[in-house]
Amino acid sequence: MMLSPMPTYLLDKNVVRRVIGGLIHHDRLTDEEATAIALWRALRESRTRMFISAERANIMGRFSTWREIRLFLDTVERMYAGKYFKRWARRLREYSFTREDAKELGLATYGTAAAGEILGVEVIVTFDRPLINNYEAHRPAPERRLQAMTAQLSLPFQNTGLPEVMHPVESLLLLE
Amino acid sequence: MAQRAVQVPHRVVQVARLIQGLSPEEREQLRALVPGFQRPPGAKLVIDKGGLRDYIQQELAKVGGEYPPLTEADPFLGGLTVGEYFALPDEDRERIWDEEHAMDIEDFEEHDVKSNAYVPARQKRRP
Repeated sequence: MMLSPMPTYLLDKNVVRRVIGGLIHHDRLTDEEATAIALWRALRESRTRMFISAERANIMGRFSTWREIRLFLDTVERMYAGKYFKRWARRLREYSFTREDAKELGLATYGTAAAGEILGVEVIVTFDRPLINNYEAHRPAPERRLQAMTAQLSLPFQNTGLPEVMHPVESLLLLE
Repeated sequence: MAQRAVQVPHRVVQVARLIQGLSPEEREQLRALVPGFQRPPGAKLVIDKGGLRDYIQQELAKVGGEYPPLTEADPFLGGLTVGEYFALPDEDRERIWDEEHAMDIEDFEEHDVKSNAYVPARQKRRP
């Protein structure tokens, strides 16, 4: 198994939205934009690999000739759906996760970088409290389901696990 | 900072979450059981917006020579200009942002993963 010395985070779309907003309007940061920017800065300085979904990166890529968007995109990597992403995301929908949440959680377990050298991430960071609460409330069931599913799979897919899902404030306190 | 990010064990995060879910009364009971567990006065997260603004300006300057800044009149999400988009209430900006990310699960193309790929979540689950 490849070893990576760098921690790995997947930024949820609401975090990306606030980082972008903060970069564009940095002279009047809202509290959430400031939190998102502080986390983005802390993750950069800690050499954490930051991922955003390739879907999101494609949308932001339309504006990548502007410095604010370029700066952000230069600091994150694209996370692509890897093999079994669809199967796992469909199963997550059975545990009251919205389609968007299932996509995010699916990528965190079965997503991969452009070179295919990583599978999933350690942490999803999100401002979405309902997602965090729903995840904590239902985690044991999908965890068992994932273990049952991975037992049938080949390497590296049999090694996957569930990520931590954290609010940016929680992540910042851990990083401080 | 990097080392701290990876050195917090999974079980510590789980305990932190359990504590966050305790009622004030239960927290007092916990403090009585673990006297050394008092929250330090400076533990609250403080974000310096002025410092962040300086940091952003400094980082933008590094790419500013090559890429122009967005202006209020430039096109942005939802067919709006930057100015129009940011003049909207946050709920409307969120809706526009979400609409741009409405891809169905079945529409994703699955990419190849190397057989010896690093699996971060596995490292956390079995430290």
